[in-house]
Order: sequence, then C-alpha cells, then structure tokens
Amino acid sequence: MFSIVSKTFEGPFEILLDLIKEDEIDSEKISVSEIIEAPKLINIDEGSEFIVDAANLLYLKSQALLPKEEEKAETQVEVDAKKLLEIYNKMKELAFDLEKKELKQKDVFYREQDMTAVYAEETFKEATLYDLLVAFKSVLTYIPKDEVLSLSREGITVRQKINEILDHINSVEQFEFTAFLKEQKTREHIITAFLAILEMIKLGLIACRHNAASNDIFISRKDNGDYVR
Amino acid sequence: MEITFAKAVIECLLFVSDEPLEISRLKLVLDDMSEAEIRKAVTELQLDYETAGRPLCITEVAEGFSIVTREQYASFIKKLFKTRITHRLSKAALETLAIVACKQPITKLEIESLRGVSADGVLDTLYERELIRILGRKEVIGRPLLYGTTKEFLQYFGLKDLTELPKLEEINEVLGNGTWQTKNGVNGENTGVQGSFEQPR
Repeated sequence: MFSIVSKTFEGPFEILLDLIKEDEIDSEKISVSEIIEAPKLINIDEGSEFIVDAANLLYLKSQALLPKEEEKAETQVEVDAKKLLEIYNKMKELAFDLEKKELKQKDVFYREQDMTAVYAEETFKEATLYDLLVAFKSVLTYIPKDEVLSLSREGITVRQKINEILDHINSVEQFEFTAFLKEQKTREHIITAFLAILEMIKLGLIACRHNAASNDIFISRKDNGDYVR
Repeated sequence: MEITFAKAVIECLLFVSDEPLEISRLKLVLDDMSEAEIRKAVTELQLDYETAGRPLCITEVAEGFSIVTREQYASFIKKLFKTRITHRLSKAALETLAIVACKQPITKLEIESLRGVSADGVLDTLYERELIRILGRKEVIGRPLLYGTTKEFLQYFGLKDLTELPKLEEINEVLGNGTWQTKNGVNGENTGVQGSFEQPR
C-alpha cells in the first residue's frame, strides 16, 4: 500500500481514489505532480501498483474536465426536447379541436359542385399526368411535318416559359392544352411549354381540368388567394 | 342599389355558387356598392334567414359566405346521400394539418421533426384532398417544397380564416420565444429562419 502526503490529503493512494470517485474530494484539488514526485519506489510490485493508481487518478481527473460540457449539452437538449414536446402537445390539442370541428362540419352541407345549370353539360375531372402525356404526344406527331428546320438555336428555358404562361393565363384566364401546344413555334418550344406546365402543376400554380366528353384539357389559374399569414 | 334588391341579388349569387363567395367577388357583380355596404347587406340577409327560421343559413366560411343547411337536418340529407362515403381524416392527418396551419409555409422535414415520424403519405393524402397546397420552394439546400393550407381546408373545418383556430396564438407564443422563429414570409423571404428545426436525437 502506498501512502501519499500532499497538501490536501494524507494516506493510502487507493483511499484517495475512492474518495474522488465518491465526490468527497474534488479531483481538481489534487496535484498530480506532487504525488508523482513524492514516492521513492522500493520494489516492482509497489511500483506497478502506484502506476495503476496514478493512471486511475489521471483518468478521474481527465473525466472531471470533460463532463461539464457534456452536462451543458444535455440540459440544452432537454430544454429543446421539452419545447418540442410543448409545441407537439399544443399541436395535438389543435388537432383535437380540428377533429371536433370536422365532426360538426359533417352535418353542414354546401351546394353540390357542378350543379350550376350553365355548366351542367360539361363535366370536368382533374386531368391526370396520363391525359397530359397523351395530349402532348398527339401534338408532337402533329407538328413536325411543316416545321422548318431552324439552325439558329434560340434557347428557351422552362423558367422563361413559365413566366410566359403566367402572363398568358392572367390575360385569358384559361386555355386549352393541346391548342396551346400547337401554337408553339418549334418543337423545342412545345417541349419546353409542356415541361413548364408540368412544373406549374407541381407548384400548384395552375389547375388542369379534363373534359371527359370533348377530351379537351383546360389549364386555368389555381385560385391562389393569399391564405398565408 | 336598394338594399332589399341587393340582398335578393346576393342571395341568388350565394345560391348558384358552389363555393364560398368573398365580399370582393360579390363586389365584382354589385359594382355600384361599396364593400362595407355589401357586408351590411349580407349580414342583414344572414339575420333574415335566422329570424325566419329557415332550414338554410348563410355562414361565413373560408373568407367568404355560403348558403348551407342547418345541422338538425343532417340526418335526412345523409339518408339521401347514403351511398356516398366521406372519409374522415386520420389522427396523423389532423396533427399534420394542425402543424401546417400554424407554421405555414413549412417544409416536410420541419413537419417530420415536430411529429417525429415520416410525413410522406399523410402529405400526399392531404394534398389529394386539397387541404394543403404547395406554396413554392424554400431557398435552402435541396430547395424543399413549402406547404400551406387551402381554402378547402377552411371550408372543411368551417373556419372563417386561420385566425379562428383557437390554439394558434398559444402555439405561436411558445414558438415566439427562443430559437423558434415564426416570422413567415411568403415566397422565400424567410430563407433559413426555420433552419433551427433539427430535432435533437
């Protein structure tokens, strides 16, 4: 057993380690150099024991350096988690409120759509991607014959096309899909217009209605009123 | 225009319209009246329906007005429509909607970080039912889509507008203090403010 004599502690090394482990002694108050310099090693057993104890002491001391940051991070996470939970619970309450409202609204009936006499003969359904593709294909087979091979590439981007379509739709309110594609000057324009329309549908800027009877696809501006707070 | 006549016109317009009519839309028709006058006429009409004890009433919903049936007759209407099945929204869908309603514009990732589960399927369903819509893209890495609620959302829950959601303010209060920003610009003005949305794991 190895005894230590230092400013803060006198006694066997192992007891010192135990005390540190149990937080009886603040490891910061123990000077490693004091302890290491003190001993006069007599035999190899004592020496190895000392090295083990010293290593343990170093371990404890190094650990004492680390946890502070960790603890801080943990409390941070705790606060965030608490906040998330709070928000989540509020959302849950809101969801519950919505559910009650939903149930109540199930008893309130609005006018049926498509009952207005004027449009009665036209039944529309939302156009699917397939409808659009079929229409697009029909236009592509229709055009090429009289297309003049143009050498100068007048590049047009989808973005430009989107702006063009937006302008167009603002002035005419709605247009027919195939007719619009056929109006395009070149094959490149047709393809760009098609891509632009797809992108706009994806962005929810426009709506596509497919008249099942006449097979026309109408593109109209989606009622994009500003509901955002 | 004389108010009784204006009321009659408004009643006709509300009758033929299959979606709530905003005051501004009514004004397009009644162009010689001011919005305040139109609102007054609508309110009077509402009162007329109320005092006459009609089975229909004029309700303010989705930022507009609509003629709807009264709740006590629902069972009969349901009998007429008995072949129609209306699916109610799932708990997950309602929660997701609540989050979108409060925090719009919001990305999928932000929704998922609040709910802790994938929002893919739910968002698809909500989008299909037109309860949410895409507002644009957030100008951050990956340019994720931003979602917001629709007019159909308001109508589905019988809300006049978003401010009518009872818990909304409380939630924003919680969100307001601390790192959680609620400053929501529309088209990408809010770049990055919601970046602090990572969920601690």
